[in-house]
Amino acid sequence: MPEVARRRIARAALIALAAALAVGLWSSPRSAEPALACAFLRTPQTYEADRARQAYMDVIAAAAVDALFPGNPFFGLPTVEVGTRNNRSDSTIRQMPVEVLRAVAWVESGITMASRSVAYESLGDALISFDCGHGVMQVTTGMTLPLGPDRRPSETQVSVATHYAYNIARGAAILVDKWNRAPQSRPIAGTDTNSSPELIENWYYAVWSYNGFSGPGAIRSNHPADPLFGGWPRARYRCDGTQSRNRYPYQELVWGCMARPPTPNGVPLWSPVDATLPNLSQVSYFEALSIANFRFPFAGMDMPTPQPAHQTDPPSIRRGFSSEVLAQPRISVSAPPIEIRTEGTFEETRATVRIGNSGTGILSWVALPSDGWIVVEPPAGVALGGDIACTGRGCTREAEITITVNPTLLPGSTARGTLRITTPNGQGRDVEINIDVDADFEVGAPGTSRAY
Amino acid sequence: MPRHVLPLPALLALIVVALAGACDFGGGEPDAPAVEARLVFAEFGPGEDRIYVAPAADLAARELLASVPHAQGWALTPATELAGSLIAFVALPPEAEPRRDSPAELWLLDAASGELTRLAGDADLLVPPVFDREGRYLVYRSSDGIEGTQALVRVDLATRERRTVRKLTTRFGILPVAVPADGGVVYAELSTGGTDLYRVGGDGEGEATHLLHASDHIASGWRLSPDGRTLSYLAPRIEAERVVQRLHVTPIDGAGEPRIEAADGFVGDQFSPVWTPAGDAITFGQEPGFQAGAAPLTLRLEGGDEQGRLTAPAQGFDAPLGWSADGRYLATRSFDGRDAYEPGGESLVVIASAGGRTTVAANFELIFIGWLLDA
Repeated sequence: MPEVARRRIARAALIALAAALAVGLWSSPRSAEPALACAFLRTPQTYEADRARQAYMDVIAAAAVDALFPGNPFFGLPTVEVGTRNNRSDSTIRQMPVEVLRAVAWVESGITMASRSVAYESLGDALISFDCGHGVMQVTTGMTLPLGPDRRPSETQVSVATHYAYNIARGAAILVDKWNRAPQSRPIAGTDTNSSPELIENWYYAVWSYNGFSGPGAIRSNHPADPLFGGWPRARYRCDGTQSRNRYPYQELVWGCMARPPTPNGVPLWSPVDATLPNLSQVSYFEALSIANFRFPFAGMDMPTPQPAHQTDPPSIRRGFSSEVLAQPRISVSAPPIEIRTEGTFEETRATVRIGNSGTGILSWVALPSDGWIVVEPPAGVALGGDIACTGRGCTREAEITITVNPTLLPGSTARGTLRITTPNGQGRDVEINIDVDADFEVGAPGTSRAY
Repeated sequence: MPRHVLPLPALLALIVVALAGACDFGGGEPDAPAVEARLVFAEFGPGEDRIYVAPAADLAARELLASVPHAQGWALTPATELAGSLIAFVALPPEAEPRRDSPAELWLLDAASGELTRLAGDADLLVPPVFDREGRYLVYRSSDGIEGTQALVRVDLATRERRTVRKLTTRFGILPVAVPADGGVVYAELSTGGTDLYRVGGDGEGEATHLLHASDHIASGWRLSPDGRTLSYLAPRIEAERVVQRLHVTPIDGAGEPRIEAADGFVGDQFSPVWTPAGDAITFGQEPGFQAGAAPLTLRLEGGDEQGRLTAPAQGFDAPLGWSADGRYLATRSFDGRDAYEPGGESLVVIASAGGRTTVAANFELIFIGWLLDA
């Protein structure tokens, strides 16, 4: 057998062995930790706005009154159903109390889009929880698996993960969806007020559901009488960092933050609203929240509006705000053909692609490789227009993608693939980059490899 | 990993100082006990809790016993009581996802030696572990978080052997209540039927035995008497068109009628019953009603007579946490509000049985862990 042929066979055998090992490792018994299976296999990047949260607060206000994506079936606010169990019907209302949305955002993420290590007004890893909660609103719904073609992230997933306006708008829509689950699968708050969505107190069960509607005693319970929250009674949550979260159901965290707004930059983020919680000393609330009623569809949990109820004026959003926030990003990519040598120098084993935004606002992008052996880091992210503050330590307006090769997935010692870079919210054409790889394995002796 | 910061020599020195302090505290009384009760508590910090010990007579003289780094925003959950000098708690490790359903670590801290031991990494953060009286066993809850399966796991503290004594798939919860002298486990189970109490053998073999139906609602605040024979707890009931929490005291074997249902003569809520060290009486908080402040009340088990009077807060009410073993101090959560719905501000207060109240100063939430009694 010729030497070249023998080396090819050896390479193929090695690749197969490596692949088998990889598959074996991947499928070997692991701990009880949940599998990492979010929309992105690697952490996408995002933009963290100002420390004072002004950018986020403005967007939250707009999202609460559907002033960001009106009519958009995914990011627009659904109509809010109104009425009690017997007369619940759709309405033309597309808004929710902004106080609720603000406090939920604070409890979820401290109103931050990126992980804690990312400086304000700069780019960095998105904030993603182990159960695939993404960004400011910790959006989990629709983010646990790639939902695009060929099991890739969809455009909406890219937007939720990378752009705070889309993330907040989606969170608001999900909160309204939780509201609208009553009466089919959730109880109604406000049996005496026609469950008006204008009353903050009527959002009690929707907020509870945003964090999971589990029964008392369960590990994710938010039942207010659950002994898991420690001795009764408990002081109200102050939302100032001096109390642990251990003793509070989710909705009481939110109510506490509405009443005592956080001051991350020394200034309260909103005007306090001391919304009323159900009083478990009153028979009507006690019986509604009785453990006997915690059974689908939870009709027995319907309750009157906790009094005194609170209603505030919806925020007024200036004309053109949506256009300012969403702006007109335009993608620009430096895209020379890429050649990677797995056995080359460090520089030869990887390539870099830069993505810029020649327009305005925040450009979301996603890099979609044609083959599994192309490894892209980060898989999605943002690039900043000239109008976006970029003052944080190490902030660059351009995004940088690093491309490497997973040799265990190569079909042969040489391969060609492509990387398509596209944007869900920017102008400009998709960019396709050719990638050639040469996996030049060096075989020292049969069955061994110096490379892997 | 939690850090213990009080080495053995320092602890011994502290005990000597405390003993000296105890002598002074006696104020010349000829039969003043040569012991000093010390309060053990934790001060929450956003990323790290600190466990302190402080002489009951001088709470400001706190000493740091251990630091417990944890996931942001989530405090440690201590065992309901100490077992001698043994302290147990669960905490989310700093690298864990900061959520209540992340697997928490179970730790054992010996206040006498300062030794800190990690016992498990699969505990439920919000469920307090429970010791037996002798400190031989510790029971904690572990949930899989996916299928709704919960397990009560008993740790043999001598061998570190862990044994699942009860496993259940439920939409609600099972909560460890007590570990009787035989090493079995008494637990409460929540369901749409309310709260039921069960007992299962320490070997995990055999079916659970139903002990009693505690309430059609959610019962809470379980405490086992010092002799291990009687349980106290709270359960709600409707009285005069409002719902109030009421003290129940019942034999642990479920036999016979409850020994106390503290209802007569009470109007508002009762709070957090705890046993006196002798085990012959129960102390619980009460709603102030028309008074400005209401002191905790102690009722004798036999006869239901009131035993002694404690100093009431100027305003508000107390939720007892535990008596020191010498019976001289009662730790409480004190509220300056008017009732459970509007409890107002909360502070950790030590009430001396001889009279007087002392608030433990803190800028952050305080978590009562228990009492040490150094002889």
